[in-house]
Amino acid sequence: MSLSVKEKTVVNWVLRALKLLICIFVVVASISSRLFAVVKFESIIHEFDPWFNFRATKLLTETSFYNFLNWFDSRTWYPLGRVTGGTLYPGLMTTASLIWNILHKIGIPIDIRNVCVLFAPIFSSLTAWATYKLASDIKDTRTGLLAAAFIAIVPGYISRSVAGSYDNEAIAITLLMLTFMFWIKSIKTGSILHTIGASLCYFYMVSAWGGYVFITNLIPFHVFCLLLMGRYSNQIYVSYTTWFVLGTVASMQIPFVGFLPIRSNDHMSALGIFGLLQIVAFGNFIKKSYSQNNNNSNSNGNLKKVMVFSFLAVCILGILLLILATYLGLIAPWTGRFYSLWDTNYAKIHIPIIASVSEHQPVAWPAFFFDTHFLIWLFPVGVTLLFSELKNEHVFIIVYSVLCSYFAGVMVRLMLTLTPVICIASSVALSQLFDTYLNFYDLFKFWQNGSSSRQNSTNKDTKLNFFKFLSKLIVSGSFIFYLYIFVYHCTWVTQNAYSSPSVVLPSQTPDGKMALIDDFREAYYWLRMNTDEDSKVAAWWDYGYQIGGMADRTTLVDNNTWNNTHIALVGKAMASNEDRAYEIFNELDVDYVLVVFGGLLGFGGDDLNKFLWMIRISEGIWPDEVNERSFFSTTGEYRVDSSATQVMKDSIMYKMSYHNFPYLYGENSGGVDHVRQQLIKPEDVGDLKRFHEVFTSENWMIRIYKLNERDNEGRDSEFSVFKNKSVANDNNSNVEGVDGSRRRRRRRRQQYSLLDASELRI
Amino acid sequence: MLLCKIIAFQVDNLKLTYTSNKQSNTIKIGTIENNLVPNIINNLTIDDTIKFSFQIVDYGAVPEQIALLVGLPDRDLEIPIKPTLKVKDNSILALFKLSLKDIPKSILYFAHNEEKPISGTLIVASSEVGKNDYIFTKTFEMNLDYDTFAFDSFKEPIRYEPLPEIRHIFPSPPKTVSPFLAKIFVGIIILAGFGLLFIWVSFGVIKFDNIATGLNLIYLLGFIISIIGFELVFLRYYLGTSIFETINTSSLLGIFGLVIGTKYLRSIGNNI
Amino acid sequence: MNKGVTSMNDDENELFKNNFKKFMLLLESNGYNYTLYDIQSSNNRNSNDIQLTKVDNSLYDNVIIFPILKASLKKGSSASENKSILSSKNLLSFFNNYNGNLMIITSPHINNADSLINLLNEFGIFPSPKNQIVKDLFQNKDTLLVSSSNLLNKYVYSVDNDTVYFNLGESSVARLDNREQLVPILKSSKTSFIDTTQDKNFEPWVTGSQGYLITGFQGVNNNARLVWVGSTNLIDESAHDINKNLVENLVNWNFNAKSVIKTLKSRHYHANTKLTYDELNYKINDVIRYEIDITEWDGSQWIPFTAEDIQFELRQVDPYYRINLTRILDNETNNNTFARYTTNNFKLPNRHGMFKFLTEYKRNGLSTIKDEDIKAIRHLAYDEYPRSWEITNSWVYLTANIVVISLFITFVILFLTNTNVTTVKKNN
Repeated sequence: MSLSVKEKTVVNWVLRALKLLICIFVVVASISSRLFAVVKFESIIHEFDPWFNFRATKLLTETSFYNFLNWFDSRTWYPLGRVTGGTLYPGLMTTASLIWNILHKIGIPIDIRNVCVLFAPIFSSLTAWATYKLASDIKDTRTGLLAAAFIAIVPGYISRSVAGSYDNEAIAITLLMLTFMFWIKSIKTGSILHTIGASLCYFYMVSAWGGYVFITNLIPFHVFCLLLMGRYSNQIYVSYTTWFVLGTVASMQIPFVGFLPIRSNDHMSALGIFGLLQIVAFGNFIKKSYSQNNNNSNSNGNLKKVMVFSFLAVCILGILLLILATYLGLIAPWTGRFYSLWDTNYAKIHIPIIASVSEHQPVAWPAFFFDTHFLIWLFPVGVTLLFSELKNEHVFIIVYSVLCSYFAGVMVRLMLTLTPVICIASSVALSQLFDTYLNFYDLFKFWQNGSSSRQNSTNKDTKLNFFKFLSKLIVSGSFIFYLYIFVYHCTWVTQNAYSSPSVVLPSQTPDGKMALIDDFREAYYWLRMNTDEDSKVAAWWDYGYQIGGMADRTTLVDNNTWNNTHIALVGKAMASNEDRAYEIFNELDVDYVLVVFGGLLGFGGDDLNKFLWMIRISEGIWPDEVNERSFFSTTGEYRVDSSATQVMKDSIMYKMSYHNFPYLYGENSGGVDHVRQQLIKPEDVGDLKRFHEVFTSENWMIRIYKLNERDNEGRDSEFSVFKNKSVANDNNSNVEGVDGSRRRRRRRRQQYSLLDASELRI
Repeated sequence: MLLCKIIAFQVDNLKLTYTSNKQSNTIKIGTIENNLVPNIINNLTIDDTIKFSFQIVDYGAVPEQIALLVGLPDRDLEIPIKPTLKVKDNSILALFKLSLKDIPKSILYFAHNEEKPISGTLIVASSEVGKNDYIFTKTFEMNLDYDTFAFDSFKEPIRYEPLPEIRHIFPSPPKTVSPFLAKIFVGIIILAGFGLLFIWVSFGVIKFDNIATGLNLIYLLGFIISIIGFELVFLRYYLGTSIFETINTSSLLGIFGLVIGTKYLRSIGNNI
Repeated sequence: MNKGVTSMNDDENELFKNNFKKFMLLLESNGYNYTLYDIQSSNNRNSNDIQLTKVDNSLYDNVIIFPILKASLKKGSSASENKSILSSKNLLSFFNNYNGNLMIITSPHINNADSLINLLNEFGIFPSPKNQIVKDLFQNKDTLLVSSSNLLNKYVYSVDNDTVYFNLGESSVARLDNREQLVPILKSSKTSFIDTTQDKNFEPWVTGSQGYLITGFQGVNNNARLVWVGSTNLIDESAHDINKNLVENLVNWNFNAKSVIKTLKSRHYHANTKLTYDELNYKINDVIRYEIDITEWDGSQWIPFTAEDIQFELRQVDPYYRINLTRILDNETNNNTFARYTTNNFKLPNRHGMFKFLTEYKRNGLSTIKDEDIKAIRHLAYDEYPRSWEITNSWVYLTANIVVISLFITFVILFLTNTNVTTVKKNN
């Protein structure tokens, strides 16, 4: 039945109101599900990297943008310092400080920390809106709403955008979706306005995240696929050229990027496709003008051959030129991080720092399900469904999903970029399904008709319709049930797995109540209150940002890991014996050494477990001074009890971790290391002569040591008159030791001094 | 008791043992005086030994001080060799035996570095005898074959002293092309620009017969102003305005230019 | 300048009244107040009254220890307890933690106390055992005469013109290890030896110039000084006239009244604008200037310290600059108390980072000074580089840019304001 105009407008308004309501619910869901961490713990910046971003944002709000852009950080990477202005992506901090400034101007003075903590949830709602728009362009608004709902709560995205996770990904995924949204619009319409939107969002994305290279390669690859499919059109030409030129020139304004777009292999595909597109456009132009004049089909065929041949020739020539330029050093080759995506063994051998980060490991299969629940099996369905229509925008989604699936399989961190396309593709599948199976319109119409004219219906029709109704009910019912389980799963995962700031650790008291292990903050605050302002702290690079952010002390190495040799130097010091470590630390003006020890609690992420990586990294630079083999016991195991090697026991990491630990439960019982499950006896742990302990936190998780002053008499640590040699005087007396101990000596006839007979004073 | 004259000072059996042939050489020095020119022995290796002996005749008691100091006297780096004494009747035979492997590494190191010979100084003195008869003289000098000695493990001890001056060497500034050459190319480019203009003029393009009228004229002016405005914004950005100001101005200008420009272009779009 | 001196000895007080009287008078005339403690006397034998330090403060600045028999520290006497001031632990702590100076005199005729010998061994001084007396027959066969050409350190004592012969009587001799903190003062001559004709049972401790008769030591961190003397004859009455100058200078050096220098202030600033670091941070390639004021104590007042080889270092782990400081002599700094040294202008290296401005002057016998300041030297901001038009290479590209832009604007204007030009070809 047809509706009158008035009814149509009513229906339209109802539809619009429904859409608005759904959007509001999606926004509320996305923001609220990210607030678990704030509710359970407190409003605190999580993890490690966000602490640096927070420190940079504070600097930006306290001083000017000029100071921020030219910031020379003298509190990190001592004594090298770090030119931070040119080595970070300013988008995140600038946005946060902009929001802070606007809020202050309109009279809501929110503390910068709260702005940073709640930054990610706010922007995730924007992501949901952008995904809605993007998916609507792919199929229709129903798909868009589904996609927005999915991305609002899917754990794969939440893991990097909870409240408190103030990291680049918080804003980057939003901008990613925005860029793609504009790109799809511009591909569909060929409008320069949309393309300008795409390139401006791309510029914003470049300023925010290093993963912008993904867009830089995905969009050209999409255009390349379209070219290969023979779908060249003026719209593609206009969109791509405008996007490329504007986007590249804008992206070169970021100091960190600088001239990379024309000098590095990562960006060469965009440039190559740009050139290729010009040639294809030229060929197209020739074909049009040629075929205008000449309608000979034979020459058309020849022309086609010529065009294909020249296309291939240009491609090959371009690639050869690129290889030549890379070989000559004009264009930088693929950076190590990207190369390790293709050759997964590369990082372990050549760049152990990248290999040691747990986020860079390959994904285990259950992780896919954990992060996306039932969307993961809807995802291939959706991609296949897109093949049936195969318009330009569908090609984009297909290309995006194929490429991203490979990358997500190689590195856990890139699961984040796969999640949006999973949401979109599965929403396509689901909405296609619901289009058919949730469509009871025919049935209602039949029943309505049938109730008025029952005589016309036959039994068979009724039965058929009944079965149709039943099947539709079952299918849509089961999928609605899946959706319900999906929401339940997402909320559960968010609550339990992704909402803990790793600064504060949750645990349970014996009677089941939640107890917080706050050792990290205790130690950092002790450092902040009890040490000189310009004292230098040596710790492993994992804690660099946190020490800089919470304790506000100068550190030697931090999470930026830009200087491998400096990190290897700290690793070498941790793996050496006391004298050598003291020398190295003295050269670097270190005052305190910080060590993380989880043996009392059972905290598995402590420095002794990371010790192997310290050894490997320093062995890469000084293979003759540090040898990984010498830290393994004779049976080849990594032992820390009595069967540990002497090199292991002499290293300051061992001594500092276990200092006084065996005496914890009584004089001679020894202590059990709950992480490595081994017994440490008092005689295994040597004395520390060059360092002394100044602080140990409540659960022995963080231990801080201070360097002793140089010996006033210039003795080295093994020198003592009374150690092994006899005294230069008549004996048979109670010899008094310098440390007050008494020893008896036999009477000797000959007296000899400690000096070697051959040691002369020069 | 009074007799203090050491009449005979025979250096017997100064033996040098070469490792290859096991030869031994003897040098007889004879009487020692205090200004003796020391004998120079060359090419001794680590396996060699030196035996130095002399006789004191007509003397009753053993002198209190008989010592052979081997080393570098200028640096005060010397080791004493204790003699074995044989007393026969009235004469005393003193024998010093020095194995070269007993020489301390410090002496070898400095002798090798400064290329000085290792000398042996003889001191004979006694409280019973007058000072004129005391012996204190260099008797021999050795030049060793340092390849056979192992003193690599010796490290010079640290002493406080001024260190050499260091001035940082700055890298030279990058080379730029000579201004004359640059000006030539600049001239070529400007000429090419003018050439293009000239070609346009020669096509007879300058007629100004299509200027729009009325409202469209304003739109046309607005359009042209927005284009020129954008170029000016970029010029200011190049000269040092901050990025935020540039974005602000360009967004305002962009909206203005977009609106006016689309109006104008739509009006003439059919006629192009 | 009142400094308390305690001395502990084993001999009877008569020794002090007779032989050492002139020495004690010398101490008094140099301004030292002293208290005498006798280890052996019954007052002190069973009490722990002798204290060098009290809680955190030291009661005395310097300690002179006269020869002590080992027997007087035998088991049972309170003086041999760990808590006694004569334990090496206490003396070492007095030296290290309370900056106290020590003068230890041992005698070759007795078995010196173990704790003292052990203490000296910790410092790298190894004195000869009992009855090993050094003799030099080439000078004098009865007593040990040492020429002043054997003096090793000009900061302690040096004799300019004629040589004097010090009378050390019967002295023990020590061997030294190779530490740079040792300040050998008087070495024995080449012809000295230890007479072993009486007792053939032991090896002579040292022969020749490897033996040292008077040695000093200066602590690394706190410039406390220690002197060891091997014979009591040096300070005895009989040799007082000959040895007086040596003893006086030795005592003054030992008690930090001679050869003591310190820095007053150091500063560095931009060379042309004279702004300090706090007013305008340093960046790479800046030209700056460094100055330091050094003064010396001459016994009664502070005077300018002159030296030619003081060096300034600009370090970031390794030194980038090591410059010899030159003295400024002008009206402003022509002061009576300090001397001002400058590096003259120098250019900061083109490497950014944290740099240490370090002046460290360590010479044997002189107290050490160390003045360091760590400052961050930043990189160039993005607008501190030379502009494009200053580089000749860029002229080509700039003109190309300008030409293209102006041609584009001209083209747009011409295109919009002119009709098409149609060339009519004659088709004949």
